[in-house]
Amino acid sequence: MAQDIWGVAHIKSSFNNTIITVTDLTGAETLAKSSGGMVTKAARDESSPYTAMQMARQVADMLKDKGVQGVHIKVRAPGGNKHRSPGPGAQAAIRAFARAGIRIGRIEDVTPVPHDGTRPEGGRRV
Amino acid sequence: MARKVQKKLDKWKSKNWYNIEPPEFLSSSYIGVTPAENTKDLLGRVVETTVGQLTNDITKEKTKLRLQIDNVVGDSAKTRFIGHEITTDYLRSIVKRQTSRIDNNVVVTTNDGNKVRVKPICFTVKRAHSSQIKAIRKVMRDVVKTRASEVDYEQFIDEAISGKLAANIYRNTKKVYPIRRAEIRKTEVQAEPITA
Repeated sequence: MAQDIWGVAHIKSSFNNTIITVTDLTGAETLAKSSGGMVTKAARDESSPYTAMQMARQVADMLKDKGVQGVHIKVRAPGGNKHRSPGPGAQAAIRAFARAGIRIGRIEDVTPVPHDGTRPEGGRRV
Repeated sequence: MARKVQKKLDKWKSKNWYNIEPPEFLSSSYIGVTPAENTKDLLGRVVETTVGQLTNDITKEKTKLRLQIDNVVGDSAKTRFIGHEITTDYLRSIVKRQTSRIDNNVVVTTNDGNKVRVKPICFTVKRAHSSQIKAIRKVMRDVVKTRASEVDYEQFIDEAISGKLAANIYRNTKKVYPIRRAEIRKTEVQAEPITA
């Protein structure tokens, strides 16, 4: 067993929720996961930076139990025909990881961007 | 509830860690570790890593490699190269207004029979006419094809991910129209020789 175990933290951050899933490098085994609703009771707080911070702290504890030293980060927004910039929770989660003593490797944006797909939901389209 | 938690912990403990090893021609021996209950689960897992990480060269962090586990010996999982891609943020940073972005998509066969799809991309200094764009596209295709027919698979992949092939494209396309940047955006290994 090697000394330094790295994982990949997949952070999906929308305006309504933040979901953190930490997997191994291949993405096949889940090491820890959390979502907004597991921390807060009010639906409107699920996406807030403070909730994301608490989630990241919890996840960091789980990771330390399993001996994970650092994570590479893959941030994504809803993407597709929805908005493509990550929500308010993403930055807070990354920062909380770093503060909780988890080493941060590469940070990458993996928002799915269509090469023109279906028509977006109603309202004014830019 | 408490029993359920207990069961989960046991399952985690029964998993072993396997070292992931890149293919030999990438001249690095270690990528990371992955847990699994039995070796059968490992096959087919895909690891993403960067050239920068393998070679300790920070300037090459923008190239992502995709490696698939295809063989497990003891506690080391051997991988095979299945493709590479440059990161989205890097690609976004070199796309500019008032200039042409010229993509191409070429399927080549290396001289030892591996079929690889290569996606080169060129950026011009100023907006080019469509005839020039077509000419550049043709040059890109020819460069990639001739290079693939000259060298074997491992050499070809090495040149594609290290930027030598892109430099080659740059040298040849700039005769048609001033080129700002040439890159290999993506490769996908499509088929290996049946004999191997």
